[in-house]
Amino acid sequence: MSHFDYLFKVLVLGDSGVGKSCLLMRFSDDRFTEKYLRTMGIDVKARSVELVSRVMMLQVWDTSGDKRFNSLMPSNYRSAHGILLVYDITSSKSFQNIDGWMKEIRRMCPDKVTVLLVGNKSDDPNHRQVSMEQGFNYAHRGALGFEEVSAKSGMNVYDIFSSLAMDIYHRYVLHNPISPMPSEQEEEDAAESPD
Amino acid sequence: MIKNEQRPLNFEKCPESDDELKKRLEIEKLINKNIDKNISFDVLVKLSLAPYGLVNDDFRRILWPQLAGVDINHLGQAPTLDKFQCHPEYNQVVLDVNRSLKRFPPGIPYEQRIALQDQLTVLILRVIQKYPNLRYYQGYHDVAVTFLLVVGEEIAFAIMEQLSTTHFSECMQETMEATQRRLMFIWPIIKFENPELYQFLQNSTVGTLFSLPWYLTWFGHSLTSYRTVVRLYDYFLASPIYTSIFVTAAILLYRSDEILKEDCDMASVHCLLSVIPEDLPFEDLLKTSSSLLNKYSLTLIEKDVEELICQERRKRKTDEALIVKRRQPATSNRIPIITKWLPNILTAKPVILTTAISIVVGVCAYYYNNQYLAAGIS
Repeated sequence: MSHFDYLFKVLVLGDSGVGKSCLLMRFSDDRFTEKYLRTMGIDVKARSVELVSRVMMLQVWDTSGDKRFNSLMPSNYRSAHGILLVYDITSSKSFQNIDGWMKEIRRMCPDKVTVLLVGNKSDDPNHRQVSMEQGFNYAHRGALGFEEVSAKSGMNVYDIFSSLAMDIYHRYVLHNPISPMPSEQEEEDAAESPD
Repeated sequence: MIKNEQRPLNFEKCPESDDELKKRLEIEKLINKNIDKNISFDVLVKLSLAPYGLVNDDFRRILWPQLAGVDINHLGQAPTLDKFQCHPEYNQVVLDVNRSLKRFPPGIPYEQRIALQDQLTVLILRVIQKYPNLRYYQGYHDVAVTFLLVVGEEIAFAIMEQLSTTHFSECMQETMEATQRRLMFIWPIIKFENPELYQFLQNSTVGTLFSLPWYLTWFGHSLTSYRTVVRLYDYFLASPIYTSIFVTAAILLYRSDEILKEDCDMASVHCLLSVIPEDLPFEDLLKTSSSLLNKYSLTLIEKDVEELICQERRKRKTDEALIVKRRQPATSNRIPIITKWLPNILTAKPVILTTAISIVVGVCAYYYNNQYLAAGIS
């Protein structure tokens, strides 16, 4: 693997069919397929982003939309530095279910975890069921980041990953407590992993 | 570290070997001889477990129902799709069926493909409507599509109904906890057979998620060769319920050298394991699996599994307690934080630095005070 200064672990969560795997394919391979992709359990992809003269390797864990698989991966939740929580702007149901995913995140993840709310399929405005304002307001209330993207056209896809990486960098690297608790120290050791 | 999306099934036929030809003729003879009555179950099991299994789909169409214990003389008529549109799982099943196009033979006419998709949707929804206690899971359609392609809609429903209440009943519970527990049975087998591999996999913290699709779909989701998929289905239909656990263990043991060369971290090991190489010698692996099955009964390794689960539970409790601890308001932590920082503050460097600064400030104050006094300002 190429040289990197930091290794950040990112989870992609959201309902089945919202386009999690397509987002990841666009980010890691810069391609898109019209065919449905389905993830059983979990898939891993990695790509580095260069920000503030630092190379940050994002190890992205793409999960299944079937909530019953969640109980099988608590360690993935606990060691995540960042989360992309994805809904489909053409499906109000996937947006309503964000609450359930947030509960899961609050229960399973460390407090420092960075969460970015992502509305996918913005290339299909004719079938839009969730307005950008709704997404923004939800994110604002929960102090989450927010962005609308299109895995199909590639719009904003790189941006969400780099902004997530930047946020993780600020939280985990720049704003370290003076004397971290042992468990936090372990997290930082995992986050700051020179090659 | 890149895992590709699911690859399409390869339906290519391979040239028939001499052994395969011999077996095909043997099964043909057996079927012709028993045209009016079922072949003895023991004979069927023996044929299915032996190399090449039931050889081809023409034989499977006849013999799979017998292996699954299904009476083909009492089959119900399949309802139409619109009967299920109000079912709570309808949308999810349709979504997954649309995503299983790669499991259909290539080059089939569009109309036929649409008909197959509808049949698959009906087949799945029929089972979960008939048994409301069974929950559909993603991957169930991989199993259903295999039976649909081989035996057709009516018999596929009867077989899926049978398997859903036996082999897959654990996977169809409200939660996946029973499935998670079942997957843990892989570890004691590996531990006894190859302690070095076991230790490596434990150190990597890879867990059992890589094998989840294998277990839930009898490898149907993860393999690229249709021929291998149906061969495995011969084997599983003729074997005890949890045999896929032993096939998983056999694969890990076979790949041990390759695994041990990998970086010992969760992501690397998960990526390596979750993609099954296309050139695995499955007939040999099934032999290994059968011998492991004879060697380790599930009851024998149950104790080891319980121990592993207890360890995991303890670790999870510790982790969750840490998360809760960190969420407590800062006020309750003030005194401990001060006591924790005090030793850091009272080390040699800070003390010398503070003393030096104090002396400098004192000297300056004294000097300026004298200046002010001299000027008569004081």
